[in-house]
Amino acid sequence: MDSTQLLKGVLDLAVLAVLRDEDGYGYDIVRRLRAAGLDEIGDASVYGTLRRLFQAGSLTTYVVPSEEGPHRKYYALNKAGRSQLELSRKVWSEFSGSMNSLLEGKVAA
Amino acid sequence: MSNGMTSTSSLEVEQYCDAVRAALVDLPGELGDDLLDDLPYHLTEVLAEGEGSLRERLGEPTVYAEELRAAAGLEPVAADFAAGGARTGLADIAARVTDFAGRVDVRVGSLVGYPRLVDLLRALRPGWWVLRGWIIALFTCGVHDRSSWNGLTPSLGSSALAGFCITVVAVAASVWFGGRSPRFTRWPRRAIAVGNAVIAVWALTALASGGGATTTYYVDPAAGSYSPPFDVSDVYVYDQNGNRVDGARLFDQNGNPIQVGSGTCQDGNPAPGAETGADGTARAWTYPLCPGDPGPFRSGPGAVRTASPTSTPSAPTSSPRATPTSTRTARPKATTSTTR
Repeated sequence: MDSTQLLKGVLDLAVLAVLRDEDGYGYDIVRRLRAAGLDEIGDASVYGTLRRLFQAGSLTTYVVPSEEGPHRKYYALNKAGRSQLELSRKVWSEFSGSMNSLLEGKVAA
Repeated sequence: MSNGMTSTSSLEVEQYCDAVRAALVDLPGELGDDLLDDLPYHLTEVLAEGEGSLRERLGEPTVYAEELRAAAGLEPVAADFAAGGARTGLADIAARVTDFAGRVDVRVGSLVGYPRLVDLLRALRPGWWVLRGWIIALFTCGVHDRSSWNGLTPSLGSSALAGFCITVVAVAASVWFGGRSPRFTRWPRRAIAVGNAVIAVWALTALASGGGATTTYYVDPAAGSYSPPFDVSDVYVYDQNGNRVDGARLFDQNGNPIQVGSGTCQDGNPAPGAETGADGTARAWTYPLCPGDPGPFRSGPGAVRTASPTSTPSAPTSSPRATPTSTRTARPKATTSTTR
């Protein structure tokens, strides 16, 4: 089974989750996701997701000048983003709970 | 980070962005802008951290573009798009135009010694900014007073110094904006694009109409003494005895009526001499336009002061062309016979 297919459905949730505690710029977010074990996540997928969440009004951005290297555009969760994260988290835990039960053969007959 | 490194990396980012943009050219403008606006930022960040070129680290721009398209929740293009198969409608036209432009870009670029023509135009960017400032200065002066369009030197009214100052400010502002525009967000960037288009269209139309100084006023080039013609509101004709001639009509050497003056008299009424006929067509102008106005001189012998004769009336001269023609009558036959 190809994990990139699974990833597509939960990209939003993953990106929102890594921004929950700390704001981040694009490449930093990619790195955090990879560090969390999502090795196969693509740069374009993360950037595209960030743009979409921003357009949907779940994220805010701000630019931080840097003395070494380029300015960085940080993304941050706003109120709408946090409630979206909360909602998606519930959906995900129910879904994954069901899937785990199914796979472990504990389904109530 | 050294300057040289910044500029080469920004070139790499620009080229990669262009390639991604080209692959997403079928997206409607708004959607594509939303998606691509921050890409230069992002790629610059990526490039700044870690080793290797963008292509090595992110793959081919076309692949990147497709991943981007999918992540942004946009319809993936048909598989045959990339294979160059059947395309439909606008996307097809856009792709063909892009293909063609790309080929011209490379072809012409190689002629001038650059990988692509765009590279040359980019290298000339500061020049464009200066030109833009110059045109803005011309425009600013022209709006104030159209007679200021005296060739390509902006001058405010008759003040070349003011024109110079405006030019310096406009050029400096244009260059300042030019240097910063890559960092602007979408709306300022769009505003600048619209402004550039307006400036370009204005400059081209002004160029096409011969400097843009179109006026209904007529200045006899031989006299050359009305400068500017705008302070002439009426013309008074006096005969050699100093008697004012009313109802005089003026023509140039081609028989065109000379129309000089404001068309409004001192009392604010329209000038009778410049009135249009009942059917709306302009009547021949008769001078003075306002016979009711007092005029500069009292009519009568010795009234007209001969204050400044700018050009002494020249005596009718005999034709100066008579001499040169006589010297070359023998030649033509020898040359024409050889062509057959």
